[in-house]
Amino acid sequence: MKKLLPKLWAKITALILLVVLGAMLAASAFGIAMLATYHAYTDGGISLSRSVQRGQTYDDDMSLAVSCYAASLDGDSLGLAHYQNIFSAENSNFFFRITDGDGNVLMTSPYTAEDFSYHSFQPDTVTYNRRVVSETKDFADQAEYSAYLDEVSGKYALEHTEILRTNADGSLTAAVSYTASDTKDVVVNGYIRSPLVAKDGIYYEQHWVRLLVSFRYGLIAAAAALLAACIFLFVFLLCAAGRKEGVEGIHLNWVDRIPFDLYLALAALPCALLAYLYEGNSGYGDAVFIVFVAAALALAILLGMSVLMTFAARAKAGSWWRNTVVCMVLVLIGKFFRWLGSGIGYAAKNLPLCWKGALGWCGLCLLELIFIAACGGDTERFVAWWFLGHAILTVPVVLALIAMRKLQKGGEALAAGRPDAAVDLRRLHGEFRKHGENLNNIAAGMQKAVDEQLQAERFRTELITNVSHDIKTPLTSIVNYVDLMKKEDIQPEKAKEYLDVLDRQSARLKKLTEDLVEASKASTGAIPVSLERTDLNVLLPQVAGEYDDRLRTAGLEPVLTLSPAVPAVLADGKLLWRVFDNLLSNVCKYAMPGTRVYLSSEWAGGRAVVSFKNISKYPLNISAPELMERFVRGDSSRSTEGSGLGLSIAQSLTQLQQGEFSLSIDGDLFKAVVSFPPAQ
Amino acid sequence: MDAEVRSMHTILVCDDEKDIVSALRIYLEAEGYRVVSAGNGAEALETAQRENVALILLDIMMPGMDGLTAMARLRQTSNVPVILLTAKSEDTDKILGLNVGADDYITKPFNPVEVLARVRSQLRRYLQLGGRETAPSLLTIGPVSLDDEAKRVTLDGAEVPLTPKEYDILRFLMQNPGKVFSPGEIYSAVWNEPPINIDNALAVHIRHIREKIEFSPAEPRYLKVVWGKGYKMEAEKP
Repeated sequence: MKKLLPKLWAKITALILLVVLGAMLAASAFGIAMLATYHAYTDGGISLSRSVQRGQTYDDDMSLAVSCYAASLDGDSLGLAHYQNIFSAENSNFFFRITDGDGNVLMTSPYTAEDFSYHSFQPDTVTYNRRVVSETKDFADQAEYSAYLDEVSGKYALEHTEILRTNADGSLTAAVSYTASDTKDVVVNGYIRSPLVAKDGIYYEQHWVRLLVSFRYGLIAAAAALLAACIFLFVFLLCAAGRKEGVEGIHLNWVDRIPFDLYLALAALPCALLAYLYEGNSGYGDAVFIVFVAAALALAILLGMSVLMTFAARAKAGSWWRNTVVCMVLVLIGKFFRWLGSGIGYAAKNLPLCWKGALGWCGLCLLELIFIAACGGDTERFVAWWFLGHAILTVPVVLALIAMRKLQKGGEALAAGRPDAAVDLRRLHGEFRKHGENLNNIAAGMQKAVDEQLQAERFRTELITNVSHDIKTPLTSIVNYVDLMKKEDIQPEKAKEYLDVLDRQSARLKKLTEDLVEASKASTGAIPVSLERTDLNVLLPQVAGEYDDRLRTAGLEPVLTLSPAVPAVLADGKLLWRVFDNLLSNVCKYAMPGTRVYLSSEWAGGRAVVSFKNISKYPLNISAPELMERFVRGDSSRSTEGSGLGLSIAQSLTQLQQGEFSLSIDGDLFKAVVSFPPAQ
Repeated sequence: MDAEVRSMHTILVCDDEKDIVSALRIYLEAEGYRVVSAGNGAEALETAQRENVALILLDIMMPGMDGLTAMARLRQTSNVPVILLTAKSEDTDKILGLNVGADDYITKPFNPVEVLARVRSQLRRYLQLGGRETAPSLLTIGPVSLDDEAKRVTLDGAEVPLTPKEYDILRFLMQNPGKVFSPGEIYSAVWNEPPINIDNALAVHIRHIREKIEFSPAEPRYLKVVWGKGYKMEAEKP
């Protein structure tokens, strides 16, 4: 069964079957309903057959009997023969007798019935002797003519009237023609023969009724079976909806893509058309009625089923609501409002305060006007006063807006770190003035703090410089006298070793004071920087050349890799040399002897990058940022020469030149990277 | 110039730090100069007028009259060479000192050998002023002279041992004083080869030359490095 679900032929077959079986179900249900209405299940069909005896054929026969009598009155022998043939014993089970008001028999069927199971009678009027009368008459005046016409039309059917001549005195001559006929009131007695011998309409009616009654229980079973079959087909079709051979999951065909409500309307259209057609021509007979009912039923099942199936497919795909015109319209409306909202939001965010305030004020006034109009308070006097009031009110509103704008500008300047942009206090009053004064006080405080900070920085650098000068003077003496002592022939040998220590340490002290000054200046930016186009591929070999001997003395092998793609950068060659000087000086001090040192330039990520790589002599159990801090060195023991300021100075100097300086440590691999944007 | 000649020269050492004066006196007297001393600027001016001073080593930061003021006064009457000797090591200080009238500048703490070399150099220039013989084959910049005929380079008269390549590089630069050459240009001119993969070969040579002709190779006065551009031989006296 599951395999059949996606097959197209199975679906079509099921649909056709459903239509046919549905029609049959409707027919059997109709039959059961009729049987039940006439108590066929309780009295075995007697009342039904009785009511059917007075059916259509019986009524037709009654009026035919009147026609037959009219033919005899008219002396129409041909017609009479025709009717007598109809009512002959072989052709009809109907017997009639026509009597006048006094009970005198005027006419009977051409045979005498032995037994009558049913009879009824009804008064009727026989019309006979029809003829057209044309006459030309003179009338004294118009009124007389009208009265005559009324009289004739009261008795007969007027055919034609024409005024032939009108005289000066008002008398006229007219031609009038009308159909005249004689009538006679009769009573028609109709009887039905029992048993029904002739095979006429009544016979067949009774025959079908008997058949129906005899099948009355079977009909219920059949209806139940049909109902079950229809339900099964119905469920099958709903399950099959949205499935297609060779497609996993739910597949929506082109029908399923039509907006659902639109599809519903399209499906309802044929039904409405059919109903209109039937309504418009209600003169049809039973046969046409049945055809109509059948067609409508089949159509209803077909359309209803297609609607249900596409709904099932959409529901399975979970999108039936989205694919409706109503939903689309709602979404469009929603989008419009969201667009409107975001537009207003955007405008509110970006419009300057004055515009916002002005728009808000105008909007408020408009809203008030609308309310006033809605409340019906729009007498001319009131409106005039309202306008005057609001015109006066506008002045303080504008003043307040301007004051707020001023304060806002002051606040923005403060937030942007410009404490010198004070709020203009002129024309600010009351609370606004107080607020402006507060802002200005804050600005002054900020300015003071910034100044003090700058002062402190300057003072610190100055202090460091002065102290270093003061240290240098005694240091000079130490260096010189150590040198002098070394020239003396000093005994014992140990004293010479001590002198070497003094020599080394005084050199270190010298370096430390110099580095301290440089670090202080570099970090406060108190060093003049002149940026020029500098070729890193020229500078790096120069630096490597300067350090070649020292590196080799330290047991290191420099490896220079230059990328020709590196463009010129904007840098201060002297400062950049100091950066590389510091880096290479560190390399000499801290790189593992017997290893290689890699100096390379490359073009990476839109920047000119110079990197120094070496293997550390000591384990680098310290993070890169810590390494860059002043007075921190790769070795925590600080046993070797150097101030520990080299990396800090290198970083500060690189930043002064708008470059970037970074360190990375990977195990014992130490890497320093200096990068610059290309020169424009 | 030998010791006998030098002994005639008197050098004024002016510093408020007695120990430094004593140390300098020891070094200078060991070289055969006569040394007189002063403790501040006023004293220095007085001594300079009294004595026949050939050169002054002058500290800047001193009590009373400082070094720069003293030098400005001195320059009104005398053109004796003055070497500033100071703890102030910033470029601006050096430039100021040289502009006011100093002939040279040494920062503290100084290397005694460098002080002696500079003293020697200034004296030579001062005493031989105007008596310079200029042979067309002789290129001279500061204390450095290059005799292209003898293929010899001297520093204050003392011969400097250079390798043939070092000599060629120095000659090329001295022939075009003040002009900056890129390493590639120098290489092409000296080696007569296109500069392909020269790496730091030239820079190493330059460094070696500087170590031979400069008093302080880390702060060259004559053979200068223009970082990121090239090298040049300074045209003017520093």
